[in-house]
Amino acid sequence: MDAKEFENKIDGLVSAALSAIESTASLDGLENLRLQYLGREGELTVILRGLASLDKAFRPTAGQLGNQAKQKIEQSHEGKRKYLYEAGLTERMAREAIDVTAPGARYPIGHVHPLSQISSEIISIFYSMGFSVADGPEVETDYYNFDALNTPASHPARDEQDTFYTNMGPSVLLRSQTSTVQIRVMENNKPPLRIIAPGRVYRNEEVNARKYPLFHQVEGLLIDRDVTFGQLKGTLSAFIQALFKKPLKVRFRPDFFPFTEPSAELDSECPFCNGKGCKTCGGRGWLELLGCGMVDPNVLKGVGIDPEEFSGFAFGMGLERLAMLKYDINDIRNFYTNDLRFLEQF
Amino acid sequence: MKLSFDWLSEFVDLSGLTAHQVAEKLTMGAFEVEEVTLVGPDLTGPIVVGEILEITQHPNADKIRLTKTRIKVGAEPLDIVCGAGNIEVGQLIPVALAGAKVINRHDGSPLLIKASAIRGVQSNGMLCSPPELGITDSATKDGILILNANGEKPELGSDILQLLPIQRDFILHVEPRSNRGDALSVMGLAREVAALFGRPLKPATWSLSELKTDATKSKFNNVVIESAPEDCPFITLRVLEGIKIGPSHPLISTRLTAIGMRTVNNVVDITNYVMHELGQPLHAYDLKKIKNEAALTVRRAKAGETITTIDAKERKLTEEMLVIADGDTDTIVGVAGVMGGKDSEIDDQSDALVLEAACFAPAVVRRASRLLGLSSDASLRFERGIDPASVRHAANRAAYLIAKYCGNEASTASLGPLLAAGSDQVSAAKVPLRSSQIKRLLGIEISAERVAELLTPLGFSVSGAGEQIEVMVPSFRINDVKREIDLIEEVCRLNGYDQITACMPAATLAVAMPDDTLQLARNCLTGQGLSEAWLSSLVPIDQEGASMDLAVQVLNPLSKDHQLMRQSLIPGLINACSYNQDHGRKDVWLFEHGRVYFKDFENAADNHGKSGNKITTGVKENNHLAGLICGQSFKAFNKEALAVDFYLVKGMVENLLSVLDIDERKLAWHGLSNHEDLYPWLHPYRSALLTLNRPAKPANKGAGKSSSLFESNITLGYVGQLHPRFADSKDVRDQAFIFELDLDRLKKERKAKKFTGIATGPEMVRDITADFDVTDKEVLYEQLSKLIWKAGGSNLQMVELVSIYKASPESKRSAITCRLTFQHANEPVANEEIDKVLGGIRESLSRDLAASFRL
Repeated sequence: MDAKEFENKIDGLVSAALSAIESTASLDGLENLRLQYLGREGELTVILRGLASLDKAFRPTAGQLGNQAKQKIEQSHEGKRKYLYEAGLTERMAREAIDVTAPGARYPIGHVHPLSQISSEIISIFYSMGFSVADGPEVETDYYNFDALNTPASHPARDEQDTFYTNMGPSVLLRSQTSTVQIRVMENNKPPLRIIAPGRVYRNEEVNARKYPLFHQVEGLLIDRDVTFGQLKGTLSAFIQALFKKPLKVRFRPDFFPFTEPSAELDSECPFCNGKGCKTCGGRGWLELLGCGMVDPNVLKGVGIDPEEFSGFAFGMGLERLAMLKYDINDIRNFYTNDLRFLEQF
Repeated sequence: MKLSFDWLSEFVDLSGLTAHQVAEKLTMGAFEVEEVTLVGPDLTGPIVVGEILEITQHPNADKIRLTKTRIKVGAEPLDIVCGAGNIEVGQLIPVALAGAKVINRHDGSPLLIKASAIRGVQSNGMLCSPPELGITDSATKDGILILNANGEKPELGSDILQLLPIQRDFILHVEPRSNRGDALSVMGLAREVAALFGRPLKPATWSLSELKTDATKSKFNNVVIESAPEDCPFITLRVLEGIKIGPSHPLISTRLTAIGMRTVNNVVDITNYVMHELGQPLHAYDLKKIKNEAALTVRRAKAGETITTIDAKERKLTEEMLVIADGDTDTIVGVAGVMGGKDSEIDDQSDALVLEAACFAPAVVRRASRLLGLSSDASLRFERGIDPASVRHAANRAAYLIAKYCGNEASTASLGPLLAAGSDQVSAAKVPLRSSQIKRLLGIEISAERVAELLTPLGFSVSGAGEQIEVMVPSFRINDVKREIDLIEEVCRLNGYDQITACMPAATLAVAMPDDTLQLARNCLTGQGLSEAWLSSLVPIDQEGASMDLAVQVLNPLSKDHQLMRQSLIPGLINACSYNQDHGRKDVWLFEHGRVYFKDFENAADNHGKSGNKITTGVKENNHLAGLICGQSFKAFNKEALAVDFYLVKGMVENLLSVLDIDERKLAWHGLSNHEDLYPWLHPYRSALLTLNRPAKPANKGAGKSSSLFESNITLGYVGQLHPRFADSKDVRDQAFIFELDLDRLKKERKAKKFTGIATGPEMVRDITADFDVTDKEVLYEQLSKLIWKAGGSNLQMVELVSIYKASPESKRSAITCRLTFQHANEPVANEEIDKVLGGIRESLSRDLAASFRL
């Protein structure tokens, strides 16, 4: 075979291959063509393999021609392959079309009870102010619920909280306030102390939209040297602002609790109307949120803390009341019915 | 208590103050005023005196005329439209200006005055008729109220509400303070108002001496205290004769009506009037109805005695109650401090009476009031303490008013002498106060001079200066002011809580990290689709499954439904499930964290439950975590819903254990056999107990019963299907699955997290299928997996259950296939080694469980 003959043969093969590639419409057909020309026994491969038998002088030119032909076919094949692949994908994806406006398949997620949410929030606010969480029993003795809290049997306040008594003995009752935990903490720990105690309390009251025989309080206690009423005001004002996430004004109004003196009721500027007066605050502009005061010296003496050396303050708030205000819930029974239509809103 | 502003003004100068200002001051001074209500016409200014300068006809209406009315000399007159026929130029009339509120004379509703156009003519106010100002007894029947009809000359522009005798009063609803019995009266609150505003109290305007105090003709001459002196420190009686029963004087009935008291007759009304005025309860007996005409006695009732009280109910008396008895015949005429007897009550025919004013012990009155279920305005005051030193004053005041207003036509009533028993001497209380303590507790300095300034108006007398202050406490305050701290409180509130600067406490202590077990559990369970419930811990007394031996019960429950302290969270969750299903929910997934309560025999000391005991209640409270899953999981329009079964719920619990870092290899699951009685709500064949993988410790000696739902001290909880009987009886509409865990015990098993590296050797996976003959006994997965782990060697990383196959439930053969993953930390595990281990596993399974293998 002379050079001209070889060149013609290669050219013929290339043009046949290119036109076959051009006209093929499938990836399978394309692959067959690749094997037909470029495979191990492909037409071009066989020709290139035969180069060795060519005239020595002609061999480099022939090799060059052969490689150029191979590149042309490969390029054409690759271009067509990409084209067919993309076209195939486009067509396939079009067939895969779905209605993306239909709802997502949601894995069920549960909801945390609003009382847990507000309780966690309160705990974390006080934690940031250095308070630890303390706990105590719900079935208590009258010593912790009353006597140790400066409320002896003859004290009128003892009648005001209608208490549940139990079959465990005449002095065993269901605690009517979380203040019991103050005493237990002070008996078992030396000052300085900073605790809060969330928990369930019980009062013998008829069920209605505002009252349930059990509810929840968070009690707080701080005992140290030189603790003042000013610090009580500062701590609780900071708490209220953190809870409602607003720089609300608060005011402290004198009140009476047997175990604190002086005692106060904390009113916050109504967070819903910023003190202008609305339905929630009954037009007053103020909301009564919690009771507090300086720990009575009798309480400190009772647990063996010298009131001349240490002083402190205590406070207590109702979780339900705060949650009802915060989430605009108007019936306390919602908290205990556990209707999913209620729970799922939190 | 309800406080009349008008009545208050009799005791303290309130000029220039509104009822709302007084209410605000009282509220910020420890006496919370819940609301202020108006008695009488609801009028608001500006309503002023005006003069009609000109009258012309309204261009568009026949019956309406236009006036030019001025309310100030030299000022531009106002155009005001008027429909009344009686107006003339030169008249002085009341003018309600824009912004004023008067009364609509047609229906009594509030009428707001606005400047507006009336039939096209501007009107800047309203000329008022008497009904529009709430005046019903005016001589002017029709038309505008003419203020100069009889030649009066009220000043132009002056305030009509001040000028006219319009009967208006404001009632302050004051929250009573349990420690301030002295302030349950107009007089007591007047002292507070005087002190808070720094105004003087007005002197009394009456004196008993201005009346004739004839000796009466009555033989009644004695009162005796037979009871212990602490029951009744002091009592006075006085006979009044020549009484005529009738309606009360208008001033008295108006005031009583304003504060919501029913009026009865002139005598009873006066006893109530003086009680509200001075805080001293009084009682009047009809002298003729007292069988012994000479004396009354104070004594304890005897068991079995009865009395019919004024409310016509027969009351059984006990020895705890104090009574007033007629000394001779021993007939009881009243329960001391609570209520008088029907038989000696004042009636229309009464013409002579015995007036009682006394001081009874608070605790005794409270007890009697509770035992009788009878609370009165009198008992409310006695319970909070009466000042013996003030009894005579109140007795005199009532006698004065009765004599003045209740005499018969012929003469005023004749007064007998004041008969008294006991002592009205109150030992003076002197309380020291250190200035340094004020500073230490309040954080601000208050000088001795300032202390005197604050306390003196309340009847305290203050002496000393600098550090050492001495305070004499008035007799009516000795019950609540006994200690230095009580004085500091008094000083603090009178000075104003708002005067104390807020600041933050110094940080002087380390904080303990809060326990996160509950938070993690809550996150894990909500993440798996369960919503959190909070359930009542008071449950019905007939709660199914409750152990009555271990029951903590309420003795005075609201109802049988709130009587037992719960022993499990499950019954409450079942109720919540049926509630939700009743309200249209098919899928109910709930969990709760809460306490359960048991009698604790192990720790019950002999003294538990004794009064005054501080240590033990004999009750153990455990924190449980429980869940209920009913219905389907993961629903979507394009997928089959995932049905809930035992394994899904067990998987949730396993996830929870993993989140809490509890090593699964320390735990074991067991069938429920032999424990069915403990867990009546569990399906006996589809429930498992979770225990620690170690033997139970024997119970302490002498312990008759366990104090936990979970009998053995290694039991952590259970998972299972709700017993079909429970599901049916509670109307649970699908298979429900439940779990309950002892969170306190789980907490103890939590371990700190520790990273153990990532193995880099290739994972080698082998399946093994064991065939068993189950003719006599089922082979359980746990038996198999334990043996596999035991023989699996150190490279066995994971055992997964692939399938449990049984051709039919009756089939005598079963096949269990497990997938074992072997992996070394950093190099491949040789096939030969794995084959050797598998050989060992097969051998162990054949030996211990009679397994056979298909190769």
